[in-house]
Amino acid sequence: MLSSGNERVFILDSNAYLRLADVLHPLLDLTFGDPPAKLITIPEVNEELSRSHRLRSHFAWANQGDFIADRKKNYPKIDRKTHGDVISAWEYLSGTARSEGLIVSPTDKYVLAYALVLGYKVVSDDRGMRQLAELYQIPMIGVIDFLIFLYDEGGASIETIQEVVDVMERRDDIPDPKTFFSKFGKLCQRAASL
Amino acid sequence: MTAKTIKTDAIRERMSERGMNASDVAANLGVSRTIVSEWLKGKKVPRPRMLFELGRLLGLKASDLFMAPSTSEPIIAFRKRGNCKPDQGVALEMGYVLERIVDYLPFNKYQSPPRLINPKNTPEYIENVAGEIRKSMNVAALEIGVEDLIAQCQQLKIVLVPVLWGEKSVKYNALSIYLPDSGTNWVFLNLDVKPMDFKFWILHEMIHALVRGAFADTVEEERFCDELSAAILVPLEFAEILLQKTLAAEKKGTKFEAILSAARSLVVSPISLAKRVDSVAKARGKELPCGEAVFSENTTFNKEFGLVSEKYFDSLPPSADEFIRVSEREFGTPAFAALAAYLKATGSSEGAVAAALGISPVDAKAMYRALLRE
Repeated sequence: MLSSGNERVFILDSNAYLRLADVLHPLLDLTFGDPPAKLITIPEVNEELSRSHRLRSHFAWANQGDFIADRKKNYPKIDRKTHGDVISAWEYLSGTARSEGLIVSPTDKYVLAYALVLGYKVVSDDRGMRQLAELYQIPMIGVIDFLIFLYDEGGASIETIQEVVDVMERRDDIPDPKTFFSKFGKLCQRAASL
Repeated sequence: MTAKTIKTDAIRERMSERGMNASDVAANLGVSRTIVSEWLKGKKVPRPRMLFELGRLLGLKASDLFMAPSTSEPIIAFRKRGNCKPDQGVALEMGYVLERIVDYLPFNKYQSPPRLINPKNTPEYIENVAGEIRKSMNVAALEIGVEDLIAQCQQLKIVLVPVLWGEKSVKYNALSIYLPDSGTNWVFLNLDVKPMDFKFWILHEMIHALVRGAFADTVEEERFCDELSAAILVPLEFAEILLQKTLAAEKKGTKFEAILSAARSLVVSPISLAKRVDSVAKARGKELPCGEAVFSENTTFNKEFGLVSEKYFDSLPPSADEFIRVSEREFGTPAFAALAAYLKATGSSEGAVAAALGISPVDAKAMYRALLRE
């Protein structure tokens, strides 16, 4: 359950979760930095990830019990009125996505809606989400920027970050590889120089 | 977003109801009074974030503020059956996504596919059209095969989209989405169903495409699609012979077995078959003698058949590459090539695949990589 102090809260979309969650398991237990930063998912993302997969996949672990339990830990605790605000925000986001010709999945729009209403940061590499987030001035970072932040705030060693990247690479799951590896290379250099 | 896409009247009305002027709104939102005045005159449009804040301030929903989009709404085929009703919201979202992909289809964009002239829910009309459609399919055997239905759908420019939506958590057996602006019919076919249901739903969705807009009443349209599907799968002469057989048989078990045996030979559901024979019986003032028993035995009958997906793939789950390859080969679907072209042209992410196909993010990741390799 989230506390409402001065925590920095990052809300993960499905793909960011899938990129991070098996190496950094249990991901949602992770609290790091000062003021404390932590990660959350929302029920809509959990529901999607808990669906049984029908294609051969590297991510079959995502609908296993311990991962489902992990995702449920940090749902935003919101009252009925705030939930209404989230639904309303979702409708605004949908209207804008449609008028701007952006493809954003219904669940990803929920991620943005929660972030908009609750003032959270989003972790996602989705192009449509990024464009929509910009229009609503919702802060959003990609997985590589989150990993850099995680390292800088003492949440993980460079070896652990390297392991996350290795697994993503083995799965052919690096988003925007050129930018990703450029940023990761700089992080590695920085870590080596310490 | 342009000034035309926002309902400024709704903003003015709500401000007036709440006794607010441009200065009050400006102060609440932290913007200048001039800019609010320009919004109200339609000279400028609030940026999306500001529009959201404005809506919050005035208690207006998105639907109160956004003008209807210039493109027509996707039309989702109505479904009355209890356990496979499309979630209209999800299906509509899929329709919006498909609108973006239409341009990448290899179709002639200038000619509409044929439709039925003035369809009627009468036995005569249904029998006549069923006969015509069977004739146009050029089916020699009594049983209509999946391949016959696919060929017919292709002639009608229906975009078949095979999907694996699962058997147990299935939301839909099939889903039909019509995009009015491009005149394209998209039919999603869940391969995780039994073969007799699969054939019925392809046919059913194909008929929706043939009668699009002809029925004012969606329940009536659904009934027409049900009746015509059954009439095509089970020709009148066959239904009449089967009726005579069941009426003539003395033992209940023999009557019942005649229905099951016919269902096996046609690969149709015993329920569909019983309904079809019963409707033929009723038209002759009679009644199918073992209708109820068929309903209760349907589950047992279904166990005799595997899922359609088991037929198409060597082992389950298939890889995304195999899934696409088999779908293109067996169903002639242009959907995945169009989606791949869209992804490459726009640099879209996995979320676009999940949104277009209504699949889980895990399956969308696998499909996304495979589509980029196409």
